[in-house]
Amino acid sequence: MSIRQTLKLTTGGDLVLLLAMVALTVGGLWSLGWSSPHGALAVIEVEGSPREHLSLRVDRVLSIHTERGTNIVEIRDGRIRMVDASCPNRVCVTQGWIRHRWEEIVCLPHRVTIRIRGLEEEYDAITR
Amino acid sequence: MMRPRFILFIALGGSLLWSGCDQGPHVVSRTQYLMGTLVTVTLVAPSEEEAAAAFEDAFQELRRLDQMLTTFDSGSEVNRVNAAAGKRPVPVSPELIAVMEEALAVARLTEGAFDPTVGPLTALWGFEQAEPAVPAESAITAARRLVNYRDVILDRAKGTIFLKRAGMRLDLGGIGKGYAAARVAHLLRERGFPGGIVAAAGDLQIFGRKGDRPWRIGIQHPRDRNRLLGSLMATDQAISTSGDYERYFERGGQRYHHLLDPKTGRPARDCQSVTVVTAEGSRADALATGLFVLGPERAKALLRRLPGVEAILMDAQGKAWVTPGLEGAIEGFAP
Amino acid sequence: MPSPVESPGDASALSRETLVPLAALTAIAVVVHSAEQILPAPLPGVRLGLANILTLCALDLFGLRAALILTVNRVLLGSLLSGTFLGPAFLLSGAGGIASVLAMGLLYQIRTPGGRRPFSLVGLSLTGAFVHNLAQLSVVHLLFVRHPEVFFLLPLMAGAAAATGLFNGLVALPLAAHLRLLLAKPVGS
Repeated sequence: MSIRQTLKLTTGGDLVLLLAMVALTVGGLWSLGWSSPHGALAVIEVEGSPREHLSLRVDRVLSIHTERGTNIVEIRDGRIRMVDASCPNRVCVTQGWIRHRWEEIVCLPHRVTIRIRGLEEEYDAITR
Repeated sequence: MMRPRFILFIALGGSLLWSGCDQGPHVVSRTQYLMGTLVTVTLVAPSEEEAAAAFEDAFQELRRLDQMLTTFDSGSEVNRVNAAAGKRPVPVSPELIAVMEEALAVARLTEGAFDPTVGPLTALWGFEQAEPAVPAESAITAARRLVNYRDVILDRAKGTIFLKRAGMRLDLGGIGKGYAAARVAHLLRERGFPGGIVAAAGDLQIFGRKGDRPWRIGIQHPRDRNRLLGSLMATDQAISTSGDYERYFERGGQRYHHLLDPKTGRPARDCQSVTVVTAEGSRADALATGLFVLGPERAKALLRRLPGVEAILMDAQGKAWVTPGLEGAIEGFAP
Repeated sequence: MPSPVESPGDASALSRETLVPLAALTAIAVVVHSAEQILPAPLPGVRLGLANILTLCALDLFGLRAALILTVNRVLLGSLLSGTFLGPAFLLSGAGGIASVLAMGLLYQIRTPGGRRPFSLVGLSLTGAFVHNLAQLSVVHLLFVRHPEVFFLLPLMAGAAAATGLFNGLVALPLAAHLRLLLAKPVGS
């Protein structure tokens, strides 16, 4: 059977399925930020161990309670920031939004860190 | 249907069922709050268990060094020296002697731009406190007079350190993290790990390789938090950055950062950031501070006669300069 | 005692006319599946899943039950051969295989009002590949990595499924037609 004969046996439904899957791929990759250097996931660590894994694609506000105090985290438009913190200097709040894989927000008094994770690490360490 | 090997891979990494994966380097890392900052140890390890034991020892060693070098604990070796300032020499560990020798060497190189006796000034400015404020001019002048590395008497034979004048204070914040990173990296290498990074905030000591390639290190852009200046491939090197953006407060529209010039008693204004690449962590750390305080012109002059030291300077106007040895080595260089 | 010859409409056993070619298809599927584990992948992390060609043929020629039997046996025999029986790879392989056969079987039941099938084996193959990957991801999520992170792989998997599903479907379609002609001929002619 030739390729032409084979293709004749395929249906419009097949084509619709194929196009839907291609659309899902392209749309999914685009919306998850695979095409950009942005991370897809924020990891909130307390005392160096992960507490929360949050998708940057879902806007939300979240309180992180630690034995040293409370931090309020906001995710909006694929970025994350510390909105408020009960620490004295609030340096973490002034750090603003982050979205790249190598960025981090650190609240030293509460030992809370926000890191961005993609599916692969772009850098092994950052000097800052 | 495809059989995505990488899914299986995640599965195996996540489960303890199979720990002996031989695909690619097995890189693990741990972070703890130590020395007033975040310390991350990254290792290429054959197994999770071996890495776990090494992490335990690494952080133990870091805690020991912190207890020796800190100025926040009156019982630390450094603070015992400070308490006896103007009175008597204090016997200290050979290790602290070695750190002080390196600190004084960099102080001489930078003509006091880096100074381990900057303690009275840092205490006065109080960057670690909740409500830092700009001190009075008279207080700055008084503190400034107590800062002079030439007034440290280091007796290697007797193993003592003596601060000549009462009120003098050692502050090894500008060298301690680099020293600690180097020390722990050395320990990990001795244990046979083929590669790793000890990162005490921005002070990195890198050893070995990440499998078959060098480690990729990003350099923070001093003015745009969301950007990197570029990245470097590194194997057996220390990389330290001093920037005016890490610890600072703002009063009356002015930014006051923690890199104080011992000559003026105020934050140094001529640089935005200095990154130093050299073999040893303590030197990289101290030089980054010293070169920052020196300002771009004097820093360049010093770098020209220092072999084995590469650097990236960003001056106050945001203009970048790199040593010839780094030219072309910085990936995606975008100052 | 099952009767050796299946009466029409009896779904409890397979006829000899079905059993023999199904056994052959299963054997080929095991070999193809095992060979694919040994040969290098066309792209890192991606395999064609050529064994699904045999599953598609079984589905087209003998129906969902036969295809399911083929898949279960393929997974069992394949894992015994590669020594992964009851291991994580076995779970992934089984979940992916069975979910994809069920999805393909379901799709094959659909008829348009005019009594025609809206999807050929190519559409089935595409769906099967996608469901296979989806099922594997779900198992990974449930059993191994309880982070939503794994589902970020979904678009990549959809892309891979589109490519591998199309390839397998375009092979299975003429192959199944050919086999149908072959099996229709009386033995020995």
